[in-house]
Amino acid sequence: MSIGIVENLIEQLSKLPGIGRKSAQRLAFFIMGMPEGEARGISEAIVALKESARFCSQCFNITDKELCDICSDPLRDAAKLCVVEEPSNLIVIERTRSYRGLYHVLLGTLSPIDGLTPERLKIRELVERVGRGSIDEVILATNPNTKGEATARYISDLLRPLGVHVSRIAYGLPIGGDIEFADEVTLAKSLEGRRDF
Amino acid sequence: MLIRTEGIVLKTFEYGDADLIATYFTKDHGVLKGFVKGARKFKSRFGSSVEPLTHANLSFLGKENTQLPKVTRSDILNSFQTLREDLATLLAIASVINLLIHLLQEKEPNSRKYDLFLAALKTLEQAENRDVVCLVFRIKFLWMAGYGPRVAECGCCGTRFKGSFGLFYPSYGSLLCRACASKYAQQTATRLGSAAIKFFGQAKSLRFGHILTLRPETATLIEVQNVLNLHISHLTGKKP
Ligand SMILES: [Zn+2]
Ligand SMILES: [Zn+2]
Repeated sequence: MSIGIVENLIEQLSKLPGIGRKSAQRLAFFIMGMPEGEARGISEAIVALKESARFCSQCFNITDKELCDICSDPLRDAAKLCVVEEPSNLIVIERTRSYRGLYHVLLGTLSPIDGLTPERLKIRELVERVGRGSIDEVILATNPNTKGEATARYISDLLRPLGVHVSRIAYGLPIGGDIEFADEVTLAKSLEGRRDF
Repeated sequence: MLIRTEGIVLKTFEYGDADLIATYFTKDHGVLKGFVKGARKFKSRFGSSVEPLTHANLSFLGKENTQLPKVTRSDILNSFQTLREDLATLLAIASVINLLIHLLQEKEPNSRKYDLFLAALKTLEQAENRDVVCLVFRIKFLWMAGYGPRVAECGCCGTRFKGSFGLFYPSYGSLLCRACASKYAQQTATRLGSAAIKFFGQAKSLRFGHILTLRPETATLIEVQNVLNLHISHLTGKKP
């Protein structure tokens, strides 16, 4: 067997985000030790994904149809729109079962330190969607960190002139935690965002 | 090795499922990168302490000469949260951070530059003219690093500047008088009015406390910004 085959796999794997050369090497040797069926399963799943999965033409969730299951569900509240960074964020919000509106996936965030590049994200599509007029409330559910916050602010500046109600998910303490271990920013934010009880 | 120092987060890079690689400007060890395990988890003990601009007491732990030590402690001294909450401020600070990353060497201590940066962040917190403060910091920092833009006199023959405007040559990092420009400079130049020239001088010499009262005209600010960006992009080889 030529070493080139292993080298090629290492090179391919290191194209994945967060996978450096060392991790890629580790994965490649792990795959070598796998039963053939399992290894084939991985490669076939990748091919199947690329052949049939696509982004929903309305919300940019992952789907195998033109419109995803959520967008085409007549029972969802089409006047509410929840904006998230990635399809994986949509999945966890769905798991809460406490939101029945629609989504808009940005497919990334703005990074002010590296220069704003809003054209990389599905922001224009969001503004157009809201501009069509059937949405009352846009909930900004980007991450509560510098990038997510900057993205939320950027979008809210664009949406406000359209007369739509824009809200931001609450900042606060994680349930089950102890106040003593909260950092000062999180604690200050949760005090600011307190509500009647 | 174990390093205990204070530092400021310049930027972070998401790594793996829940980790971060943070680039710090530290007081005693210059620019240091650290691996912050689990930083993105909600219950991470690092909390918000690895957000950009956070000033914290830090510990780094790793093998001798490691490229990427682990951050084992990060206690917030000043979160500078109000600076992160305003997009325009954040964009102005981005130009500062990118300049620092370009001109600072990794692991090369420089507490004077560090103190200047920290003073700038503290000034920014109280400032209404935040874009002016960021501009002033960049000019001060360039002088401290030995790359200050020379606008008080001709960069070639030293003749002091007179008149209502001068021509700044990014390739020389200075103004050139008419005589020198015709002799040596084939490159393009940018016009710099006397108000902008005066601003460069004030930025170099005034303390941050006095910067808060500077209210230059917008047109002057834009002129200064343009020339500064040209100067920096010439230095760093990056587009403005
Ligand atoms: Zn959809
Ligand atoms: Zn001259």
